[in-house]
Amino acid sequence: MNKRDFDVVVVGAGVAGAMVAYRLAQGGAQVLILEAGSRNPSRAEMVGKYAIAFPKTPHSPYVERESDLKAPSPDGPADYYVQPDPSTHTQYLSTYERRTGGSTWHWLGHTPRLLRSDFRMRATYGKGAGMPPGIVNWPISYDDLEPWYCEAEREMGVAGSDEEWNNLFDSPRSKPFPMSKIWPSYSDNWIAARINGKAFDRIKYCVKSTPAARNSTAYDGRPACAGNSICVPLCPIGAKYDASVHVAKALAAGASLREECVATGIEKDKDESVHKVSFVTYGGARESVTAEIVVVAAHAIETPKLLLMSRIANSSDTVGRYLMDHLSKSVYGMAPEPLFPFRGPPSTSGIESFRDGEFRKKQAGFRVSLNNDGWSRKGAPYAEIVDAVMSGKLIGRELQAAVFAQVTRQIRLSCSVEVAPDRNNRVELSARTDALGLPRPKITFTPPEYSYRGLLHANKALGNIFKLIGATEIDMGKPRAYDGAGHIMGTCRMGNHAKSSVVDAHCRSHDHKNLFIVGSAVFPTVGSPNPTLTIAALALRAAHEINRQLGSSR
Amino acid sequence: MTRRKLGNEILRGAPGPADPTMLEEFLALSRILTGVEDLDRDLGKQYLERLAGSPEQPLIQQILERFRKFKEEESVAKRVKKEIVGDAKLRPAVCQVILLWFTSATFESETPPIKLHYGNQEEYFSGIVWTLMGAHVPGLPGGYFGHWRYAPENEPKRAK
Amino acid sequence: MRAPGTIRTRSELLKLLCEAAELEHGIACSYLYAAFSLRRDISEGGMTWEEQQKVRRWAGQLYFIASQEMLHLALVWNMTTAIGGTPYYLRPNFPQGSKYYPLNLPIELEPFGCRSLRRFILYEHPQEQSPSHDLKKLLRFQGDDAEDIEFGSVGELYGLIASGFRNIKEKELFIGSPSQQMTEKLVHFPDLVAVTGRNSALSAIEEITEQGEGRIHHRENSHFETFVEIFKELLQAGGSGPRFVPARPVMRNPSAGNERGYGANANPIDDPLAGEVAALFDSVYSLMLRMLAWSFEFDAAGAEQQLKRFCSAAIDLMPRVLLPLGEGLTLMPAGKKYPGKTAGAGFGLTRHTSLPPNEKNASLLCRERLRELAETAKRLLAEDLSNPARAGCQHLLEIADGFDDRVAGIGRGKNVSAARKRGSHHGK
Repeated sequence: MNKRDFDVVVVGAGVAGAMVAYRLAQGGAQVLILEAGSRNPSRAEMVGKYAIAFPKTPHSPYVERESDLKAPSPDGPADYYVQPDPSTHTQYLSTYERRTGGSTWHWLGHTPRLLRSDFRMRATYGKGAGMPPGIVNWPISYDDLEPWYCEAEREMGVAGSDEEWNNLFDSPRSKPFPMSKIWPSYSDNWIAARINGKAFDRIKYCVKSTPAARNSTAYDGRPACAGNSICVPLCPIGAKYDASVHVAKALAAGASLREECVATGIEKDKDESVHKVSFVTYGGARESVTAEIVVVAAHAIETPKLLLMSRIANSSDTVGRYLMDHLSKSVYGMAPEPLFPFRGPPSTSGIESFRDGEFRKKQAGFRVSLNNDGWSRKGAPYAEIVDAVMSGKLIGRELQAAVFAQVTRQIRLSCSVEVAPDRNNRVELSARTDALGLPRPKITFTPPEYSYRGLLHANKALGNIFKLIGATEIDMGKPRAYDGAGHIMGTCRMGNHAKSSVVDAHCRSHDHKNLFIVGSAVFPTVGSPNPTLTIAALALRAAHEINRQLGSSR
Repeated sequence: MTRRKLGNEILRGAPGPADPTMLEEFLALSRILTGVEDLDRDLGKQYLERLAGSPEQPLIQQILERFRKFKEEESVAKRVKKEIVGDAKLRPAVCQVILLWFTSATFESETPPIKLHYGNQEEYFSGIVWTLMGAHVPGLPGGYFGHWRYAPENEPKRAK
Repeated sequence: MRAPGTIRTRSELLKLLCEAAELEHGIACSYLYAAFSLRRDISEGGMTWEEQQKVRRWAGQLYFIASQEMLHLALVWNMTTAIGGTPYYLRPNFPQGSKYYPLNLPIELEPFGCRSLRRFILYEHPQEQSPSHDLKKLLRFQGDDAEDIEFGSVGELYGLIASGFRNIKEKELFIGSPSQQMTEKLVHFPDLVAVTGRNSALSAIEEITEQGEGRIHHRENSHFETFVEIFKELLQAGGSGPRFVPARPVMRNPSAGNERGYGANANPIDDPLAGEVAALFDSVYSLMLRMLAWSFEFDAAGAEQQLKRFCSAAIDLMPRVLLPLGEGLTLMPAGKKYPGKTAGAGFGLTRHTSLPPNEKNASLLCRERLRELAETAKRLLAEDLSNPARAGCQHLLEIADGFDDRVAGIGRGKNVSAARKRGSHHGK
């Protein structure tokens, strides 16, 4: 057998790749991480970029000319994806970050788990008439993943309330949260006092603090949250977890990292194993490395793109298919009294009550977030200042009073609706290329009616909250309009059968026994929680399996 | 207490440092427009220079000339409201002044969606609206862990 | 260094718990004072926007550490009542010289800077090792003496307390009523746990020492390590470019007036308005302490909801009144005697009774006192007082106003029976 350059090559230094690299390096393996993006400068410098950026998009602190050219991070649906005309077609709206540390740089930080029935949708809710055919069971159960959820929470540092979260929808926790919860905001408590216990369509509202990878105490050498409020797109003090933590740990454990190296192909040998990963540097040099095991962790659009470019791992014709997101919807209202938004993390509490139930036979479940950022997404407080001045009637203290009377009462509620898997929602290679000559991703995405039904129901549940709290100036948006949640999932689905899935229960490719795929691409269904904790748990579990496989092959 | 300037970029195509009288007038006018007495002088200089280099420059000139005529009067605030802010032609420039002090940004057009231009980081972190409204400049720590549980200590006065 | 020893009697253990209470309390005030002194806005001068990021973060970290010291005080109070004592809330006024405690370190109120950070690092220094060579080098700065640093740490004190809990027979020792114990269900102190036996006492001590000094090879989240890192950052920042001044020119060891407190040679504030605000701070602080101490002593059986409301009034005083007054004072002039200096909160404690055991009377005394303090606040609001001191006064009015509603019911519940008398239960 030829000697390989490394035991393992990991493509992608995001949360999944970094955790895998860390665990493998800890186990004694020689690991190389290849990252398409560059390393970020200091936090202070990134805060500086953010401060003067307009608009303040998720990518705004990370703007870097060469990286943006050579390994583009989409910041909108049209600047990198190739999608049909938005005037006639629905769009895929979620984006990601190609940098060392990946999209966790700009994630909000929420870490709820999938529920027991999320893993067994088909078995639990049967073959209902309204249930899309793409909905399947995961090849693992909640109980299989539960210990890894605990591991992931410890690795990232998750703050949450055991009392509120143990055994939610029959999903028990075997270990307490590493840190006690992030305190709910003034606004959360005010709303909770008015809606808790009240029912909407026979389901009771129950406001709970949201578990988050956000320090409520000094943890892992990082400080407690001090309410900088710009978690999206950046935590200036490192209280919010981002994967640069595990990149650093992986390097400390002996892994190597090469940045600004964009993977271009994975070569298949005659025996169907894959050992060679080719890449191009920003300078144009074409190189390759070999490894016993290859792990692709490039998030759910670049991962299928790489596999499709390499023409591997796709005997099932599933690579790139079943692209999912959560349909996100923000609604706005004005509270009858000041609630003091624009403070603390952008969201500290939510409502989990609508995530599960018999209704899932016919329509999608959803999570609700209570938010602390007022109407900032509608331009507050800038818009209010301009409006007030341009009315011509207000200056000085009167102007202040008028603006503050508004901005202190602003509420944004949001929901995150499960998108059911649909074969035809997919990532493919387009004919258009980027600056390195690599194909840009072609995206086709239409939310299934199952999810639209969930969205419409969520709209009503949110509208009802506004009613209960006496909100005015309500803006519910258009009923079927949605935003991207930033949760790109599903394009290399996990399953027991090689004919209908890309990877097995351990994230190993069915077609190539030494190829692993980690990250949200492997989710067969998505439930309604933010995916990152599940990504981390699956990655740790896969790392365990890879370690075992490496050990047995030595 | 003066601010230190450590080579921050202040001028963005501005013609040159403002003359002292003009600066004083600008500050006096800004106090009336914003309702804040304690406006930082150096920041005022930077904002005046930004406005001098902007499309609003002629309007700012007119505003200051008009202000000069009644700046010593006791009813100066009323006259500002009537004769400067009340003039629809001048109003966008007035708005820029206020938005600058409040948020360090200028805006491009009054009709939504509002498009903003920021200056430098020092200006951004000196925006005064945030503390006035009981919050903090986004990106700065708001205080101790958990402070968001309580109503802010810099809570704006409730409208009667 | 304390003479080696071990604790074998309840009385010795109670005395040490009082010492621990005094120390945690005093140290918390010292941290808070440093946090109050930090600049907030660039317009105050002395910092660039990048430095402001650091300074605001340091303030957040200091407040966080202070809040953990308050948690430690609460845990010490739980340990105290568990073994038949009553919560000790007194402490000598600032400054206390270095010989007052076996710490061999002064406890004083000083603005943020190298001097105060040096003290903070030594307060929290791990007990089982002497300062490393690197640390000694780090802490020494120009003009310092050449002597070796000799001090005792807070960790040592807890080591002795732990020995007491180990040595004395559990059944004999834990005579307090478990329903006296305060937990986060009753008072908003996240991570506050009840102490009902040896194990819970020892884990409370472990929690305290872990937060303070960390554990061997795991100090990265400890107060000690946090202070060392801040100190290093401060030295690094100070070295680059024109003067970086993170703190306001706050005076040291202020006192609100000339009222005779518990000794100590403080510096009376000379500016009349600042002096009045400082006096109000002290009065609110004293009341808050008495309310909390009383709550920890009160046997809540059957009156949990009322106790919760009573406590939340006390706890609210901290972020809503004391914090803005404390910060506000650092923006007010200290007076002609202290040219160029601003005032500060003295945390002055003067003679007063603890609140009475009878809950009706305790509530009445609080209501009365809050009303009096509200009158003072009203008077100050009529003066030329700006935010945040202004906001602190306004919030005091609100809290005083809302007090009746909040504690309605306490003292009007069931008859005060023998069942509520403290210290007469065994583990019910």
